[in-house]
Amino acid sequence: MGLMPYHLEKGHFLLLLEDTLNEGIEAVVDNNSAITFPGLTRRYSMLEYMRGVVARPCDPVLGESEIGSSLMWPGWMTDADVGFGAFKAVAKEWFGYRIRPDGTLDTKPQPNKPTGMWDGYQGNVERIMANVFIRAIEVSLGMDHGDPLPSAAPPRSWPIYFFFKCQQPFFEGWVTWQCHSLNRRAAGQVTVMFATPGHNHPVSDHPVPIDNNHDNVDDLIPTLRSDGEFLEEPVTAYAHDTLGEPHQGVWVITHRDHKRLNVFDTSVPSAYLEWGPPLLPIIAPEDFREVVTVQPAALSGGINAEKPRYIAP
Amino acid sequence: MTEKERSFDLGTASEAVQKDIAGVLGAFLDGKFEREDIGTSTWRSDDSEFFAIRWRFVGKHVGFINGFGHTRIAPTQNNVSVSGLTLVQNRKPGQVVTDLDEVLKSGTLVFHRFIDWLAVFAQIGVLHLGRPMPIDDIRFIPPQRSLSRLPGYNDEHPDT
Repeated sequence: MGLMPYHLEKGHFLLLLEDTLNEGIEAVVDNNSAITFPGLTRRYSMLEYMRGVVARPCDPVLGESEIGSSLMWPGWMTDADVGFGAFKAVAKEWFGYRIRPDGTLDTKPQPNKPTGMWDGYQGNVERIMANVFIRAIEVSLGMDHGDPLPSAAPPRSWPIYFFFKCQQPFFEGWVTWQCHSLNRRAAGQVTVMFATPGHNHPVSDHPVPIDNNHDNVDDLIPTLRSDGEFLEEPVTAYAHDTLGEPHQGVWVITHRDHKRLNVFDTSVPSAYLEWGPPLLPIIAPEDFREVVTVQPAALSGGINAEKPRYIAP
Repeated sequence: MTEKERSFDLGTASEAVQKDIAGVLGAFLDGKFEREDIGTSTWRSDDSEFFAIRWRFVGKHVGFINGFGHTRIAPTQNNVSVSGLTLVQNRKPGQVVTDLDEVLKSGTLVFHRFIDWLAVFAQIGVLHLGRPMPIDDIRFIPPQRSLSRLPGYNDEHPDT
């Protein structure tokens, strides 16, 4: 996992997952009678596989079985480097598994330790995510929960988008949907929001790089200013990427920088009954008047300027 | 010194701390003050006497807390254990105490309070979620788990 200095993040892994499940959906958007697209085949594959994942027995002490882990779904990104990087990140950091020297998984929960990188949290992230994938795909295709795979065209084919929102007390997956028209099969979308605990890196107090030490480096947002991917004050929300492919985007609008106020020393000597109450800090803007709009780079959890591509097996 | 008079000593300092705590924590915790013995903990420095009182106040959160973390926290009914160390600085060494309340009003005593507020916030639930939650939902894991830890995840399988 990278530094992830923002509360709301997408990043490379989720972009690739979207590309895996949405690839070719433009055909249905453009032609309502079109039935299949590459992403649909993978949704069917993932849906069947994840149903198997949640049907597995799970031991409260030994945890999930390595056999049939959702990580073994053959449709995950297949580019060797990306695939292995994502595999390692999800296995170790999201699910809290260890990868043995021979590449196999140790899935046993660690006693009294956080699950993966999630601070202060123990949970079965794999099982939650497998359920989220099942629900999201079913909703996107207009299937009732548990329905068998459609033999003909699914009632609808909505694109699926993913984000994760960190620093929540426990791990949740939110499946949301919007229908834009009942007359067209692809006129709608599913947006999945993973609400996750925080990981061991602070969220930046400022959405733009600020060079406090005058060393031309911002330790929290390691990106170049206005480099085409990260942008301050972006103007145009482009519908396509640099290669002319349909694309998406994300902007964050907030104060330029924040500070913490009112952190007092409660041990300052005082008279009888005159206590200094403990005060959690108030977060306040450095400049009350200044609001910025920022397009975070993928490195910081934003969206690539150029659409990442699913690489077919 | 008459029968009602006494010198200001460690025992008197402890009573002063108890009143100081009851007057503030007692406003929102229905609880009990306990002094924890750390031996003879008095010393003299410049023109003052110091008395160190280690204490614990255990009770139930039954009242509104104002100005606590900038919020007004409604009663959670959580059980809360507050621990702290108060140094009582007597700026009039040798003073005779007839009525402790009069001494407290006289301004000759100064309190240096070192309190584990982090644990209080955690027990009330304002730290983790930013909103109160019942104590049953809080897994509190002190360092010496075998002595005081509540039963929880993995306790049945300590070797796993």
